[in-house]
Amino acid sequence: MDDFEQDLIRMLRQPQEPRPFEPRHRDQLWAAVRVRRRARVRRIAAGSVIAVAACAVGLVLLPRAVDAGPGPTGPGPDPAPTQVVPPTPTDPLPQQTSPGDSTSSTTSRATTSNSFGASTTSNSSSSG
Amino acid sequence: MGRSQTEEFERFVAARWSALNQLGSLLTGGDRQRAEDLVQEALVKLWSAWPRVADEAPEAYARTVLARLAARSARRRWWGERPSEQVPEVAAVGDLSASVAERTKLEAALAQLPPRQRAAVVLRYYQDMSESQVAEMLGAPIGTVRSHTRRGVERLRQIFADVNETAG
Repeated sequence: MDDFEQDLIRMLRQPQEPRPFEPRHRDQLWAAVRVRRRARVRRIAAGSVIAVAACAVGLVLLPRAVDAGPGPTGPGPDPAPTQVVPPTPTDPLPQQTSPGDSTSSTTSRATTSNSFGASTTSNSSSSG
Repeated sequence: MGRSQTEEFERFVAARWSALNQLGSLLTGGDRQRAEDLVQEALVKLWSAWPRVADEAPEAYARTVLARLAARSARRRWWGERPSEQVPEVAAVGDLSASVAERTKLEAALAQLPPRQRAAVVLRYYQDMSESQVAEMLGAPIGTVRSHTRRGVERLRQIFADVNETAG
């Protein structure tokens, strides 16, 4: 602490003339206390009114919301699951028969069934 | 609150009124009317908290409220006051007693500080509080209080040097 700071302390702590607490100070103090108390009561009352109003609005709106049901904003029905046929990689038929054989047998089967009947078709297929 | 508490509060106020006003006067840079207003505001808040603090440390509570109000206050010594390079209140010889002149000079110098710097300097040097106590009282970080105190003292040093140059 240097000289200036010590000088500053001395000046700050210099004894001062006492100031008495006069009746006017007392009156002003209690008047301020009353003003603060009134302001506080008003604030609390305003808060209570707002809370009651909010509750009332909630009570009015709640039965209407219940009567209306879920409404259009409710969750819709679940979409039907699409049937996806899984591929059967273990099906041995396409690999065992050649494309040419398969086509010719099908064609001949269709043709013969239209022209000559089922027995003819089965014969043609077995002979081919 | 009961009658006994009211009487107890009034006794406390009557006993500490002068000391609180002196602190308020320094915290406001010598603005006695403003100091009185701040002391009254602090005492009104003290009355609200009186049942809790009456048996503990009512004066510390009042001083804390007073210091915080003063530190937050943006008002200068007078409405419309403009900071000047030189302190105007230099007492003429034989006009006032030396101590009063010195006090006036001190208050005029304090009035030129920003409120937070003034509060930090007054609490540190007038109230003889440590930096951590000042920080707790003002509700500010200790680094901020240290900075405010250092800048405030440097500013006062400069102001007094200028005044001495002018007077000399």
